[in-house]
Amino acid sequence: MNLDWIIRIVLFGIVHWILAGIMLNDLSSRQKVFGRRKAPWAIVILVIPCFGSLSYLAFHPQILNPDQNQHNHD
Amino acid sequence: MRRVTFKPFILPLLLVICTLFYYFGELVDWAAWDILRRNFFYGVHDVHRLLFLAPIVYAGYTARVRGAVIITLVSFIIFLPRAFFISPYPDPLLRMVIFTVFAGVIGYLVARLRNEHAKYKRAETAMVSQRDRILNIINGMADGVIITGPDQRIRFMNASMVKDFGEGVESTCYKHLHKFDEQCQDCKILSVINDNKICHWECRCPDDRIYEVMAAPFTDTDGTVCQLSIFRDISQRKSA
Repeated sequence: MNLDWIIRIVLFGIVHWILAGIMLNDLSSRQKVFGRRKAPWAIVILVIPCFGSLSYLAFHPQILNPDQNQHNHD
Repeated sequence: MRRVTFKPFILPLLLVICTLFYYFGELVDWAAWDILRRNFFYGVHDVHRLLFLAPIVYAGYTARVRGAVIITLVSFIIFLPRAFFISPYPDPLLRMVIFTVFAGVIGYLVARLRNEHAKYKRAETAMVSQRDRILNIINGMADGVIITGPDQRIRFMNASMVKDFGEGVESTCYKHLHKFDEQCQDCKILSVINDNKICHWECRCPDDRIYEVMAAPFTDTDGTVCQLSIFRDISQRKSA
Protein backbone atom coordinates (compact mmCIF):
# COMPACT_ATOMS: atom_id res chain seq x y z
CA MET A 1 0.00 0.00 0.00
CA ASN A 2 1.54 3.33 -1.00
CA LEU A 3 1.70 6.49 1.11
CA ASP A 4 -1.10 8.16 -0.84
CA TRP A 5 -3.62 5.51 0.19
CA ILE A 6 -2.41 5.52 3.80
CA ILE A 7 -3.08 9.29 3.93
CA ARG A 8 -6.54 8.77 2.44
CA ILE A 9 -7.42 6.07 4.97
CA VAL A 10 -6.09 8.14 7.88
CA LEU A 11 -8.12 11.18 6.75
CA PHE A 12 -11.23 9.06 6.34
CA GLY A 13 -10.61 7.59 9.80
CA ILE A 14 -10.23 11.03 11.38
CA VAL A 15 -13.53 12.20 9.87
CA HIS A 16 -15.24 8.97 10.95
CA TRP A 17 -14.10 9.22 14.58
CA ILE A 18 -14.94 12.93 14.93
CA LEU A 19 -18.44 12.36 13.52
CA ALA A 20 -18.86 9.17 15.59
CA GLY A 21 -17.85 11.06 18.74
CA ILE A 22 -20.42 13.79 18.10
CA MET A 23 -23.17 11.29 17.25
CA LEU A 24 -22.42 8.98 20.21
CA ASN A 25 -22.42 11.98 22.53
CA ASP A 26 -25.83 12.96 21.19
CA LEU A 27 -27.08 9.36 21.35
CA SER A 28 -26.06 8.99 25.00
CA SER A 29 -27.85 12.18 26.06
CA ARG A 30 -30.99 11.66 23.95
CA GLN A 31 -33.96 10.07 25.71
CA LYS A 32 -35.90 9.02 22.60
CA VAL A 33 -34.23 7.66 19.47
CA PHE A 34 -35.64 6.43 16.21
CA GLY A 35 -36.37 2.71 16.64
CA ARG A 36 -36.44 3.14 20.44
CA ARG A 37 -33.20 1.18 21.05
CA LYS A 38 -29.87 2.93 21.38
CA ALA A 39 -27.54 -0.06 21.09
CA PRO A 40 -28.16 -0.74 17.36
CA TRP A 41 -27.53 2.94 16.62
CA ALA A 42 -24.25 2.84 18.55
CA ILE A 43 -23.17 -0.23 16.57
CA VAL A 44 -24.18 1.39 13.25
CA ILE A 45 -22.28 4.60 14.10
CA LEU A 46 -19.14 2.73 15.15
CA VAL A 47 -19.04 -0.07 12.58
CA ILE A 48 -20.04 1.72 9.37
CA PRO A 49 -17.40 4.45 8.83
CA CYS A 50 -18.94 7.89 8.20
CA PHE A 51 -22.14 6.55 6.65
CA GLY A 52 -23.33 5.19 10.01
CA SER A 53 -23.00 8.69 11.47
CA LEU A 54 -24.66 10.20 8.41
CA SER A 55 -27.64 7.85 8.71
CA TYR A 56 -27.96 8.70 12.43
CA LEU A 57 -27.89 12.38 11.44
CA ALA A 58 -30.56 11.80 8.78
CA PHE A 59 -32.89 10.16 11.32
CA HIS A 60 -32.16 12.67 14.11
CA PRO A 61 -31.85 16.11 12.48
CA GLN A 62 -32.71 17.72 15.85
CA ILE A 63 -29.03 17.32 16.69
CA LEU A 64 -28.56 20.52 14.65
CA ASN A 65 -31.14 22.41 16.70
CA PRO A 66 -29.30 24.34 19.43
CA ASP A 67 -32.54 24.97 21.39
CA GLN A 68 -33.22 21.24 21.49
CA ASN A 69 -29.71 20.59 22.80
CA GLN A 70 -30.28 23.03 25.64
CA HIS A 71 -33.44 21.25 26.72
CA ASN A 72 -31.77 17.98 27.61
CA HIS A 73 -33.06 16.02 24.61
CA ASP A 74 -36.67 14.99 25.11
CA MET B 1 -32.26 39.75 17.81
CA ARG B 2 -34.76 37.87 15.69
CA ARG B 3 -35.13 34.27 16.79
CA VAL B 4 -34.17 31.80 14.04
CA THR B 5 -36.54 28.84 14.08
CA PHE B 6 -35.03 25.47 13.34
CA LYS B 7 -36.02 24.14 9.91
CA PRO B 8 -34.57 20.63 9.60
CA PHE B 9 -35.08 20.42 5.82
CA ILE B 10 -32.98 23.45 4.81
CA LEU B 11 -29.51 22.04 5.51
CA PRO B 12 -30.10 18.66 3.77
CA LEU B 13 -31.64 20.55 0.83
CA LEU B 14 -28.63 22.87 0.56
CA LEU B 15 -26.25 19.91 0.76
CA VAL B 16 -28.15 18.00 -1.95
CA ILE B 17 -28.09 21.04 -4.27
CA CYS B 18 -24.36 21.57 -3.68
CA THR B 19 -23.63 17.86 -4.22
CA LEU B 20 -25.60 17.76 -7.48
CA PHE B 21 -23.70 20.84 -8.67
CA TYR B 22 -20.37 19.37 -7.57
CA TYR B 23 -20.93 16.09 -9.42
CA PHE B 24 -23.00 17.53 -12.27
CA GLY B 25 -20.39 16.62 -14.92
CA GLU B 26 -20.41 12.97 -13.82
CA LEU B 27 -24.23 13.05 -13.66
CA VAL B 28 -24.38 14.35 -17.26
CA ASP B 29 -21.99 11.59 -18.36
CA TRP B 30 -23.97 8.92 -16.53
CA ALA B 31 -27.35 10.07 -17.86
CA ALA B 32 -25.97 11.00 -21.30
CA TRP B 33 -27.51 14.50 -21.19
CA ASP B 34 -25.23 15.77 -23.94
CA ILE B 35 -27.15 19.04 -24.26
CA LEU B 36 -26.10 19.94 -20.70
CA ARG B 37 -22.43 19.13 -21.24
CA ARG B 38 -20.34 22.22 -20.48
CA ASN B 39 -16.57 22.53 -19.96
CA PHE B 40 -17.24 24.32 -16.68
CA PHE B 41 -18.36 21.04 -15.07
CA TYR B 42 -15.15 19.20 -16.04
CA GLY B 43 -12.50 21.69 -14.86
CA VAL B 44 -10.76 21.99 -11.50
CA HIS B 45 -13.53 21.89 -8.90
CA ASP B 46 -12.10 24.50 -6.52
CA VAL B 47 -14.76 27.02 -7.58
CA HIS B 48 -17.56 24.43 -7.40
CA ARG B 49 -16.52 23.61 -3.85
CA LEU B 50 -17.05 27.24 -2.79
CA LEU B 51 -20.81 26.61 -3.02
CA PHE B 52 -20.48 24.43 0.08
CA LEU B 53 -19.73 27.56 2.08
CA ALA B 54 -23.49 28.25 1.99
CA PRO B 55 -24.60 25.20 4.07
CA ILE B 56 -21.55 25.46 6.34
CA VAL B 57 -22.13 29.14 7.15
CA TYR B 58 -25.89 28.55 7.48
CA ALA B 59 -25.19 25.67 9.88
CA GLY B 60 -22.89 27.92 11.91
CA TYR B 61 -25.62 30.57 12.04
CA THR B 62 -28.53 28.31 12.98
CA ALA B 63 -26.96 25.28 14.65
CA ARG B 64 -23.91 27.01 16.15
CA VAL B 65 -20.48 25.38 16.58
CA ARG B 66 -21.65 21.78 16.60
CA GLY B 67 -23.72 22.32 13.45
CA ALA B 68 -20.80 23.99 11.66
CA VAL B 69 -18.47 21.10 12.55
CA ILE B 70 -20.98 18.43 11.48
CA ILE B 71 -21.81 20.07 8.14
CA THR B 72 -18.11 20.71 7.43
CA LEU B 73 -17.37 17.02 7.98
CA VAL B 74 -20.37 15.96 5.88
CA SER B 75 -19.10 18.25 3.10
CA PHE B 76 -15.67 16.65 3.45
CA ILE B 77 -17.22 13.20 2.98
CA ILE B 78 -19.02 14.49 -0.12
CA PHE B 79 -15.69 15.76 -1.54
CA LEU B 80 -13.88 12.47 -0.95
CA PRO B 81 -15.00 10.45 -4.04
CA ARG B 82 -13.77 13.19 -6.39
CA ALA B 83 -10.47 13.51 -4.54
CA PHE B 84 -9.95 9.73 -4.37
CA PHE B 85 -11.18 8.51 -7.72
CA ILE B 86 -12.30 11.20 -10.18
CA SER B 87 -10.06 14.29 -10.24
CA PRO B 88 -7.28 14.11 -12.87
CA TYR B 89 -5.69 17.31 -11.55
CA PRO B 90 -2.66 17.43 -9.21
CA ASP B 91 -3.06 17.19 -5.42
CA PRO B 92 -6.88 16.89 -5.30
CA LEU B 93 -6.83 15.69 -1.70
CA LEU B 94 -4.62 18.55 -0.51
CA ARG B 95 -6.78 21.19 -2.20
CA MET B 96 -9.90 19.62 -0.73
CA VAL B 97 -8.43 19.49 2.79
CA ILE B 98 -7.33 23.13 2.58
CA PHE B 99 -10.82 24.20 1.49
CA THR B 100 -12.47 22.10 4.21
CA VAL B 101 -10.30 23.66 6.92
CA PHE B 102 -10.94 27.15 5.52
CA ALA B 103 -14.72 26.59 5.33
CA GLY B 104 -14.80 24.97 8.76
CA VAL B 105 -13.01 27.96 10.31
CA ILE B 106 -15.48 30.36 8.68
CA GLY B 107 -18.44 28.29 9.93
CA TYR B 108 -16.91 28.15 13.42
CA LEU B 109 -16.36 31.93 13.48
CA VAL B 110 -19.94 32.57 12.36
CA ALA B 111 -21.18 30.26 15.14
CA ARG B 112 -18.98 31.99 17.74
CA LEU B 113 -20.14 35.41 16.58
CA ARG B 114 -23.76 34.36 16.92
CA ASN B 115 -23.12 32.82 20.35
CA GLU B 116 -21.53 36.06 21.51
CA HIS B 117 -24.45 38.06 20.10
CA ALA B 118 -26.95 35.80 21.88
CA LYS B 119 -24.98 36.13 25.13
CA TYR B 120 -24.90 39.93 24.77
CA LYS B 121 -28.66 39.99 24.16
CA ARG B 122 -29.32 37.83 27.24
CA ALA B 123 -27.14 40.12 29.37
CA GLU B 124 -28.92 43.19 27.99
CA THR B 125 -32.35 41.69 28.74
CA ALA B 126 -31.25 40.84 32.29
CA MET B 127 -29.91 44.37 32.77
CA VAL B 128 -33.12 45.97 31.49
CA SER B 129 -35.29 43.80 33.75
CA GLN B 130 -33.06 44.62 36.73
CA ARG B 131 -33.26 48.34 35.88
CA ASP B 132 -37.06 48.12 35.60
CA ARG B 133 -37.21 46.41 38.98
CA ILE B 134 -35.13 49.14 40.62
CA LEU B 135 -37.21 51.84 38.92
CA ASN B 136 -40.37 50.21 40.26
CA ILE B 137 -38.90 50.27 43.77
CA ILE B 138 -37.85 53.92 43.41
CA ASN B 139 -41.23 54.91 41.97
CA GLY B 140 -42.96 53.20 44.89
CA MET B 141 -41.05 55.25 47.48
CA ALA B 142 -42.90 57.92 49.45
CA ASP B 143 -39.84 60.20 49.31
CA GLY B 144 -39.01 62.06 46.13
CA VAL B 145 -35.98 60.94 44.13
CA ILE B 146 -34.34 63.12 41.49
CA ILE B 147 -31.20 62.62 39.41
CA THR B 148 -29.52 65.78 38.17
CA GLY B 149 -26.65 65.92 35.69
CA PRO B 150 -23.56 68.13 36.00
CA ASP B 151 -25.28 70.59 33.63
CA GLN B 152 -28.01 70.85 36.32
CA ARG B 153 -30.59 69.33 34.02
CA ILE B 154 -32.96 66.79 35.55
CA ARG B 155 -32.43 63.29 34.17
CA PHE B 156 -34.92 61.38 36.26
CA MET B 157 -37.78 62.08 38.68
CA ASN B 158 -39.67 59.41 40.55
CA ALA B 159 -43.47 59.30 40.80
CA SER B 160 -43.55 61.09 44.18
CA MET B 161 -41.38 63.93 42.86
CA VAL B 162 -43.53 64.26 39.73
CA LYS B 163 -46.64 64.38 41.90
CA ASP B 164 -45.19 67.22 44.03
CA PHE B 165 -43.46 69.27 41.33
CA GLY B 166 -44.82 68.08 37.97
CA GLU B 167 -42.87 66.39 35.17
CA GLY B 168 -39.56 68.18 34.70
CA VAL B 169 -37.09 65.84 33.04
CA GLU B 170 -34.66 67.78 30.78
CA SER B 171 -35.38 71.11 32.50
CA THR B 172 -32.92 72.65 34.95
CA CYS B 173 -33.38 71.84 38.62
CA TYR B 174 -33.33 75.48 39.79
CA LYS B 175 -35.98 76.44 37.22
CA HIS B 176 -38.25 73.46 37.84
CA LEU B 177 -38.02 73.22 41.63
CA HIS B 178 -37.50 76.86 42.65
CA LYS B 179 -38.65 78.83 39.59
CA PHE B 180 -35.26 80.59 39.51
CA ASP B 181 -33.62 81.73 36.30
CA GLU B 182 -30.13 80.92 37.53
CA GLN B 183 -28.71 78.38 39.89
CA CYS B 184 -29.34 78.62 43.65
CA GLN B 185 -26.77 80.55 45.68
CA ASP B 186 -26.07 77.62 47.96
CA CYS B 187 -26.09 75.00 45.16
CA LYS B 188 -24.19 71.90 46.27
CA ILE B 189 -24.21 69.94 43.02
CA LEU B 190 -20.58 70.64 42.16
CA SER B 191 -19.48 69.71 45.63
CA VAL B 192 -21.41 66.43 45.37
CA ILE B 193 -20.19 65.55 41.88
CA ASN B 194 -16.62 66.81 41.91
CA ASP B 195 -15.71 66.15 45.53
CA ASN B 196 -17.69 62.91 45.74
CA LYS B 197 -19.42 64.16 48.89
CA ILE B 198 -22.75 63.27 50.47
CA CYS B 199 -24.53 66.51 51.36
CA HIS B 200 -27.54 67.16 53.51
CA TRP B 201 -29.61 70.36 53.67
CA GLU B 202 -33.07 71.79 53.96
CA CYS B 203 -34.80 73.24 50.95
CA ARG B 204 -37.69 75.69 51.03
CA CYS B 205 -39.88 75.74 47.93
CA PRO B 206 -41.77 78.74 46.53
CA ASP B 207 -45.05 77.29 47.91
CA ASP B 208 -43.48 77.19 51.43
CA ARG B 209 -43.11 73.46 51.58
CA ILE B 210 -39.91 72.43 53.28
CA TYR B 211 -37.91 69.42 52.21
CA GLU B 212 -35.05 67.63 53.85
CA VAL B 213 -32.65 66.81 51.00
CA MET B 214 -29.93 64.16 50.99
CA ALA B 215 -27.67 64.22 47.90
CA ALA B 216 -25.02 61.75 46.85
CA PRO B 217 -22.95 61.20 43.69
CA PHE B 218 -24.36 58.69 41.21
CA THR B 219 -22.84 57.40 37.96
CA ASP B 220 -25.49 57.24 35.22
CA THR B 221 -25.62 54.54 32.50
CA ASP B 222 -23.66 56.78 30.09
CA GLY B 223 -20.81 57.09 32.63
CA THR B 224 -21.64 60.69 33.64
CA VAL B 225 -21.35 61.41 37.34
CA CYS B 226 -24.64 62.94 38.46
CA GLN B 227 -26.30 63.95 41.69
CA LEU B 228 -28.90 61.64 43.22
CA SER B 229 -31.10 63.55 45.66
CA ILE B 230 -33.77 62.26 48.01
CA PHE B 231 -36.43 64.80 49.01
CA ARG B 232 -38.41 64.21 52.22
CA ASP B 233 -41.30 66.56 52.95
CA ILE B 234 -40.83 67.85 56.53
CA SER B 235 -43.30 70.77 56.29
CA GLN B 236 -45.66 69.29 58.91
CA ARG B 237 -42.83 68.49 61.30
CA LYS B 238 -41.47 72.02 60.94
CA SER B 239 -44.85 73.70 61.46
CA ALA B 240 -45.45 71.60 64.60
